[in-house]
Amino acid sequence: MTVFTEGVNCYTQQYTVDRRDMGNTIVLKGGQDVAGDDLVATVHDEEAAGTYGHRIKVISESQWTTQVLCELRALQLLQNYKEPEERITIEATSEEPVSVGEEVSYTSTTLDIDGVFQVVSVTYDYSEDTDLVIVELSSRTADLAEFLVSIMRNLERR
Amino acid sequence: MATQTRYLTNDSITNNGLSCRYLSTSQSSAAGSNGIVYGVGTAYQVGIRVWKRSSGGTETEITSGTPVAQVSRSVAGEGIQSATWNCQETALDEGDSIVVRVYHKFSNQETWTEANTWQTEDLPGDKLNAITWTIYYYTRYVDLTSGWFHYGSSTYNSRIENFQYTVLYHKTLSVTEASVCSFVRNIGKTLSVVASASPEVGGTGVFKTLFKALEAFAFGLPAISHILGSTSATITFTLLDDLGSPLVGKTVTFTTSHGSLNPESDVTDVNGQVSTVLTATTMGLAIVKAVWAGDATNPRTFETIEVSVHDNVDSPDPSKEYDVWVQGQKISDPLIVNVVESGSECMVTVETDDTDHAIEQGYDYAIYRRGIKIFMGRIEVITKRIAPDEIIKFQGRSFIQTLLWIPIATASYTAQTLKTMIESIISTYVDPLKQVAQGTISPHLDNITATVEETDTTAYDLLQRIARLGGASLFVNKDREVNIV
Repeated sequence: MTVFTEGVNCYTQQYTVDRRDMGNTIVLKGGQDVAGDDLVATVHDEEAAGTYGHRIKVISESQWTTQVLCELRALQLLQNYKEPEERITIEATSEEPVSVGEEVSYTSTTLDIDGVFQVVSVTYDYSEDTDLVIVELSSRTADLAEFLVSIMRNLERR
Repeated sequence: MATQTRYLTNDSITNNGLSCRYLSTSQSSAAGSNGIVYGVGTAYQVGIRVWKRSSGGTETEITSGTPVAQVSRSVAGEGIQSATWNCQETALDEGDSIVVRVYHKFSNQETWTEANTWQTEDLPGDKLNAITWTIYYYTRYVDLTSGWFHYGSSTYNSRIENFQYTVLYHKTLSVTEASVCSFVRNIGKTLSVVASASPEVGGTGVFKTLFKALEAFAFGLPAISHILGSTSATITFTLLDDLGSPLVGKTVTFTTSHGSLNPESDVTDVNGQVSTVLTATTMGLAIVKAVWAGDATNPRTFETIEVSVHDNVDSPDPSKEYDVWVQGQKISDPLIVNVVESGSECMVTVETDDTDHAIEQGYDYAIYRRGIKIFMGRIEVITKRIAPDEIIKFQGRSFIQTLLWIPIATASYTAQTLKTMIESIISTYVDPLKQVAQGTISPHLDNITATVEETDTTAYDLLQRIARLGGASLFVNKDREVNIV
């Protein structure tokens, strides 16, 4: 896992906390089971609700066709959405390449952050004078659409 | 609960259709007086009568037709005199103010003469408490022929002490201006419980229940101000079983992320209700959580409510092109104020290098343009830019976001007009929570009939769906009104 440490191999440009898309009660509307019944799984995180207020998020994913799968997926989603999203933009000075979707470690003493984040986007600016790598990190797992947008953006830059 | 000293000031107020002197929480600087002259030297008497006055101008007397808390001066002289009056508990409705009229006469007169009238702003409370007021009058008796009542300055410091009312609930940003404070009313908070054979699904703190558990979920967002140094709000939760029947005799425990609670647990009464009082002395956002541990029949359940404690009432500067207030604190010289209205959403972004004031997630914020409010919302995104200069950018939506947190387990409308459906949704799911009020619903939606069935949705999604059926848009304005036009 790539390690970014502020002041060592990166500089922090900005730090964002976003609670718009948060949910500590996840209602997953799945598909139908073999009996043809609609599947719904609801999970809560009481601690997160006590910290941020009770937030409900309804998600539809019809590919889940058993209650167990629905519940497992709901828990996965809960883990992803139960707290506000943290986004960090850093200027990396290391030569080590990182890829969109990769998990990296990031430590900042000024922001009091020490955790694992996912790379949302990477921007390379090469010139004769400088090689600038801007990496955007997120505490939340990016979905496929975000990956596609990032890949397209990088392809356009090349 | 707010306990105040209300001063009989020489300032003016026009409220609820009445222009008079302001019964304010601070004394004015310029004194005023009213006198009566009588030919025969007798004692000079002063007293008050008290009314509550509705937003429509209807007055209901709280005293019983004659002045109370009377003081008397029988020899020439002047100074402060005091007397008490036992104020009875009086329910207050939205927009009610309190009117106090001072009367005076000489003891050998039968008829009292009104000296002057004072009125409060709309009180952000649900009831005037039963408590003993102490009324201080500055009286002057001149040559045993004229009597004067003085007020309106620190010298002529006529006032009412122990003026007390109880604040049960506010809407989130209501405390920021008097007109919105009038929305402050009871909000029942429901802890619904459903039977679940296996509540534990995941790790610690995660349990499974049915969506119906949140059917009556009340997402109350009261706001209180600690401008008096300390303030409190009474919060009530209701514990219901899966059939909607109250659970009686169950112990519910409370915790808060800000301020303190008393009591920290309570036992449900015959209505399944428990209450606690949140007290806060500093601004912030209190997430108050109630938890019932469950029993053999019903699983553990919890609910939260958010209480927004403002530092003070916004006082925008009319000379400023833009004025930004966060949780009742003014943000100095914002660098950028960006207001974007698009479809249902109104989003405002503010950039500032003002790091002196706390800007936190969930805080209320208001934008004023030349003193006129143009936006009110809640901070959802905060970005801290480190370099080259430290700048804080915050962003949020209008209170349409509160509709997103109101779940609706099942909604079924058969062959009804869209307007009827919308009004039903608002009255059933939105109004009781006192987050946003109904605004304008386009009349053309009354001409379209449809059948709508939806399960496991939110008030926002359902209202949006119905609005789109009629080609209408949903938005919440700066006054926190839901409009579908």
